[in-house]
Formats: sequence, C-alpha cells, structure tokens
Amino acid sequence: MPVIRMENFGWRYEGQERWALRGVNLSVEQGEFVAIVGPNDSGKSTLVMAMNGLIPNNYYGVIEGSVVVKGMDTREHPVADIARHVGFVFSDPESQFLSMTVEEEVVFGLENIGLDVDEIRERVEWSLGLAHIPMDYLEKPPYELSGGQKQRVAIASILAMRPEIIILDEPTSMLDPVGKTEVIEVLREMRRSYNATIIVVEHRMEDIAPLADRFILVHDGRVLRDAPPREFFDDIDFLLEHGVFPPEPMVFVSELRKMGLYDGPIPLTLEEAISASREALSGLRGR
Amino acid sequence: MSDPSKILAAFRPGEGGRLGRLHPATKLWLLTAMVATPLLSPSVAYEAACLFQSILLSAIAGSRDRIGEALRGSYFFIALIFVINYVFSGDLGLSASMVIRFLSMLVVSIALLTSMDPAELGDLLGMLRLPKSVTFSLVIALRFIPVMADDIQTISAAQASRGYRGDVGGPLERIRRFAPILLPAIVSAVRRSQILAEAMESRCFGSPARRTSLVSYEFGVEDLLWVAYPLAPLAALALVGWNPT
Repeated sequence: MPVIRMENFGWRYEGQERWALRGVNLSVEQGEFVAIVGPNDSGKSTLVMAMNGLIPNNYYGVIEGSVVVKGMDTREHPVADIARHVGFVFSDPESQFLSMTVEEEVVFGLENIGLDVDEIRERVEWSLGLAHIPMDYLEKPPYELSGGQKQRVAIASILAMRPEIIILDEPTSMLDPVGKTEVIEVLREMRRSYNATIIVVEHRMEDIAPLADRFILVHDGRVLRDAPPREFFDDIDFLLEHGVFPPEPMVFVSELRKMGLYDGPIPLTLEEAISASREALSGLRGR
Repeated sequence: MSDPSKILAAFRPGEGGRLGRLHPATKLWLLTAMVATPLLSPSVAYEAACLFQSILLSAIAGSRDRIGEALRGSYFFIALIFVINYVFSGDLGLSASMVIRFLSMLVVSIALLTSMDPAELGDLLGMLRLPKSVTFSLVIALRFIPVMADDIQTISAAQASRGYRGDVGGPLERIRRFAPILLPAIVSAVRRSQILAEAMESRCFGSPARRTSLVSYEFGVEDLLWVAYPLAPLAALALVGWNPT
C-alpha cells in the first residue's frame, strides 16, 4: 500500500490564473527514495507541500482531486497531525530555527509530541549522529553555524521525530559547495541507515541519481516523467527541452550514443561515465 | 553616528553572567518590576536611584559593552526625548526625568533580555498555563531580534553600496531616509515568519499531545535574593528618611 497517493490532484493559488499543479497522479511506496526535478516555477515545491498538508491547510487556493498520506486525506487533517508521519525540511535553514541552541532546536518537535526526557535524549543523540553534528554543538546557537551545519541541524530536528516520510525541498539550494556536499553526505547516510521514505527536490542530480529509486519531472504544473533513474535519463534531449540539465557526464555519454560510439545504458555515476567513455574509445580504436 | 540597528543588535542573547543561571520567573519579575518602577516614580531622585540600580544589574549581567553599543545607537532618540519634552513642557526637570526613565528601561531590558533564553520564557509562560500560541509568539519575537539585526545590517550594507546614506539631514529627513532599510527588513521578516510557522507546524506544533520539556528549573536562595532586588531603592530612600510623596 502506498504511503502517499495523489489522485488527479490540482492546486491553484488564490489570485492566480494559472494552476500551479494539475492532473497529478502518483503514488510513493514505503522506503522509496524519490527525486523531484524540474525548472524554476514548475510546481515542485507546491507538489511537496501538498504531500505534508501545508497545501491546502496553510494556503488559500482552489483544490482538485486528493492527496492521501498514511491513510489521512490532507483536506481533513491539520499539518500537525500529518507531521507525525511526514517530516519537512525547507530550503532556507535559518528561517526554520526558533531556538537559541542546537539542542532546543532538535528537541522542539519531540517536546511537542509529549515524549519523556529519556527518550528525547536518546533521539537527540541518534539524530545528531545521523546528521553528522558533533554532540559538543548542543549549546551552540544555530545561527552561528555554517550554512551546511545549519541545514544538517534542520535535518536532525526532523530526523529526531523519526517520521516514516522525510521531504526535503531544495535542501542545498542556499548553501555553498562545501555545505552542499555535507548535506548530500547526510542524505547518503539516511539512505544507508534509516529506512524511511525520502522525497527530495534537488538540482544536484549527479549526487542524487545513484541514491534515487525514481526521478519525477515536473514541468508547467504537470508530471511529465516518472521513472527509475536510468530510464529517466535515457532521453537526455527530452529533459533538456523541458528545462532540466542532466549531469555533464550523462550528456557526454548521450552524445557518444548519438554518434554510434556507445550503445550501453546511460551512466548514473562518474565512474560509470568513465567506463562508458573507455568502451567507446576502445571501439573507436578497433575501427 | 546614531544607528538604530545597534539598539537591536545589543539585544542579542548572551551568557547573562550570574543572571543567566536564575530561574526564568525571577528574571521575568526583575524585568517587569525594574521597567515599571521608573515609570511609576514620583521624583528625579528616585529615578536616578533606579538608573543606578539598573547599571549595577547590567554590570553583574556582564552586559556593559552591549549597553555602550545601544547608547551609541540611540543618542539621537535620547536627544529627541529631551527636546520634545522640553518644547512641550518648558520644564528641564521633567525632560531630564524622561531621559533617565528611558535609560533605566533600556539598561535593564538589555541586561535581562540578553540573559534570558527565549525558550526559558516560553517554558515559564507554559508553566503559567498560557496558550501555546501566545507563548510561542513571544518566543519567536525574541528569537527574531538577532535575525532582524542581521537583516538590517545586511540591507544597510546593500543600500550603502548603492550610494544610500542614512546619517544626513535633520530628524525628519533621517526618519524618511530609514524607509529603504525598514521596508525590505519588514518584507524579509514577514517572509521568514511564514516559513517559521510552517516549519513549526511540520514539527507537530499545535498537536493535541501534552507538551513535555527537556529542561527543568529550580527556584533557589539566590532567586529569593534577586526577587527583593527591585525593592532596594525604595528601602534605601526610606532609610535616609526620604518621603517620595
């Protein structure tokens, strides 16, 4: 049974002529890692906000169809109820903080659901470990940390609640390259050791492709493609036409295929791309 | 140069020295009593005693540097308070009294708010059974002080790099010139507050479950002594036989 099911879902923000999303049908299974990509203003953030109930609960607009999360229709349940199952990490880490220390930030959600002190301590330690935040950061003010550390604290504060579904909306978009790498490493760690459903809106496809079970392309408010990574990236031209820029090694190998120098699958990692290029070059040498 | 953003920056949370370890109820009492007393005071002498007491408190809290920073940022307002009161009353004593009241409130607010973690205030109001929405509104308001200070500094730098100057002209001109700083800061604050509200809900804020707390507070002997502290000027003046009425 899917943990998220969207049926003919559509959303139009109040005062807007255009539908932000329309005719969206998709389901997400327990434990899946789903990457959502698309150009700016295509409806990606609206899609993920609909998955944790922020839409329609916190925004005015017109809704079509339904979104059911862990058996709860988002039109009938407040965000605070849905949040017990769905954690949401925003792109700007600073804007999510309401506490003056890392510890208070991480325990905020745990106190809200009424956990006892021992369990709160155990979860704080576990979530900070998973997010690669040293325990001696507990007393630091979150706003004094680096961008990557801030976002990892934001992720830890969600992980601590142990939701079955974690949504990350462009978690690296406001970070410097070092911060982006740190956050991607945490995503890898989550993939390895935490069996949650992970849904991430992310532009760094080269890092996400090896982790994801599925890629979803959102364009102009519609889901245009929903496929496993290798199949998703198989038609590079289609992605480029729709404002998505795949990693350069994929584009390079795709060009080799067009030239008839390579006929294998599209590589998902740099190592696979090097191997594909070697294969193409050895074929060229043999001619 | 008078810079209003310096006043905001002075309210950044700090360690609070000895005051940082007090029970939040004690800190809230100190803040309320010491802000209110100069306002209710009937004489300049009593107000001066309150100011002295506030300065002593700030020294204990280790916030003298912050107060210096705030005074540098607010001398324009201090002058304005004096001038306006003198123009409308023609009474030098009253004008001085208003300035002393302002200074007293500024000093004590900085000393206590920088020693009080917003979460402590939230916990305290929670103990008083105030609705969570009210307590967290206050917590967030305090949390946003350093964020707003950072925003104003960033916006000031951005505007200055495009030739903006806020320190020229008379009082009205300066207020008018603050608009290019204030408007983006308000827009940014509104945007941040919306994201923060969503982030809080996404961590089950508003859930019907009874909220627990990781930290617990104890009311000790030191707290008792500090509870009596705001009454000290009155006691001292009573000892020297002064009648405030």
